[in-house]
Amino acid sequence: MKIVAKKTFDRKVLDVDVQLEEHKIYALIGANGSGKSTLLKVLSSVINPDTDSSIDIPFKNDEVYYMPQMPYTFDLSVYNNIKLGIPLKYSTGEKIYCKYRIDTMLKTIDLYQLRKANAQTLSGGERQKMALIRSLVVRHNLLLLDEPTSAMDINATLKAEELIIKYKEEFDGTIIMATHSIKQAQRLADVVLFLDNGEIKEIADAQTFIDHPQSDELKDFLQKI
Amino acid sequence: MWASFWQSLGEAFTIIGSGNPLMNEVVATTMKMAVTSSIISFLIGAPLGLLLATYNFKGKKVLVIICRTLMGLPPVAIGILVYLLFRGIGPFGQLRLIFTVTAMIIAQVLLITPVVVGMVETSAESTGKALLETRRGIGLGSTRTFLLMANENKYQLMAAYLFAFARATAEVGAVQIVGGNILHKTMVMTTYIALNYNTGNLEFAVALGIIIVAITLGFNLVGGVLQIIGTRKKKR
Repeated sequence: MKIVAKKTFDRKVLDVDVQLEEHKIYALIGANGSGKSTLLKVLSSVINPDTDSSIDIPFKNDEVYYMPQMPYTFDLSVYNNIKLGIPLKYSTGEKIYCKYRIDTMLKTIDLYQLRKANAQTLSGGERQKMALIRSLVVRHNLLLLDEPTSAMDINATLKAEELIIKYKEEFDGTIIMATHSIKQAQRLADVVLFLDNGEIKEIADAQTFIDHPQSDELKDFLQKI
Repeated sequence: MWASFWQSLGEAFTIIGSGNPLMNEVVATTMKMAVTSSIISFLIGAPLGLLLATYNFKGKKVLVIICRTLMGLPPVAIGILVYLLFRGIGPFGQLRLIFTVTAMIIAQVLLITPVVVGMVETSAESTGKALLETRRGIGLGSTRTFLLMANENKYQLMAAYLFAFARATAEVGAVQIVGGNILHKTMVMTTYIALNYNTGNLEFAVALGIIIVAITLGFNLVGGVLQIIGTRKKKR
């Protein structure tokens, strides 16, 4: 996947030129306003990039799934909110398997007892758990997760990460996730991309980031977290 | 001074209690016109309002401006427009609809539909924006998105219908022009009130005024409560 993505609002917020491989987990780290969310929104077509961008992704739009930082919670039960992630074209057999996956994930992340509750009564962390399950219920060629555990406590975060790892093991899709936590990147990602002022400053595995940060911006970022 | 006021009110309530056949007929004609026109306006206006709130497309702003302009048009102007279109020598004169309840319904639909569109668009706009990222992220199709938007805004939709009904019941200018206020045919509560007032039959006018106020107040109250419930739910 060759991604040349630029986005300018009143200032340049994204200027990325990177080659990514399929079937890997990528973590985007960086401070607030570094361009992580903008990159994910551009990749998911939520926002249009500048005209001089060139995003070469070998997937159709419906094969790319994006979980926003603040997912919308529909005025439906938790279970029905999650079911929105199942494509309508799926066969009955596929839908039964999806139901099994949903139940398993709900139990793993301690949300099973709330499956019939109205989703708008959930807390922020619970809503995020629900949205994460919705994004993991079927295979996506490219899964984009924008800080998927930011509202969760540490126990829930670890369980959510377990779900992401299981998803990767089962479906082997490509995942790009934004996170503020270098430790989360270390636990999940094959490759970490450090963004600063909309540009990718370093690409390496998480351990190399921690042990041998190259740029001053990354050293500064790591000192602050 | 107050004695005459209370006397008129008392006589009006006596008329209401007596079940006057003409009054019942006028109320029935009003309900037929108001229910039909508000349902048609809702069926046209609500989907249009939801579409405007959900999707961004070329010409959307122009549509919104047109809609808001139509919301502010005086009823008599719509009445005259419908009259010009449907009078005997008008382009639709051969349909012979002028001075019928159908013509009144047409005028009401023209009047109320922009109000429904505006109400639904305004109240659903925030949901549309909040939904955008998740909708595109999940890859929800247009039909699914539309149905979800309707579900998310069900209280606002109910409120929009109730306001439309109340507006249809209380309208006088346009229905007077295109209906002609014909006894046993197109006479509705508002035009009957005006007629009774003009002919000095104040008690009948007051009686119908009480009924119309009760109906519109009741519907507006229910509509207001539903809108508050909807807004509170969104804020949670």
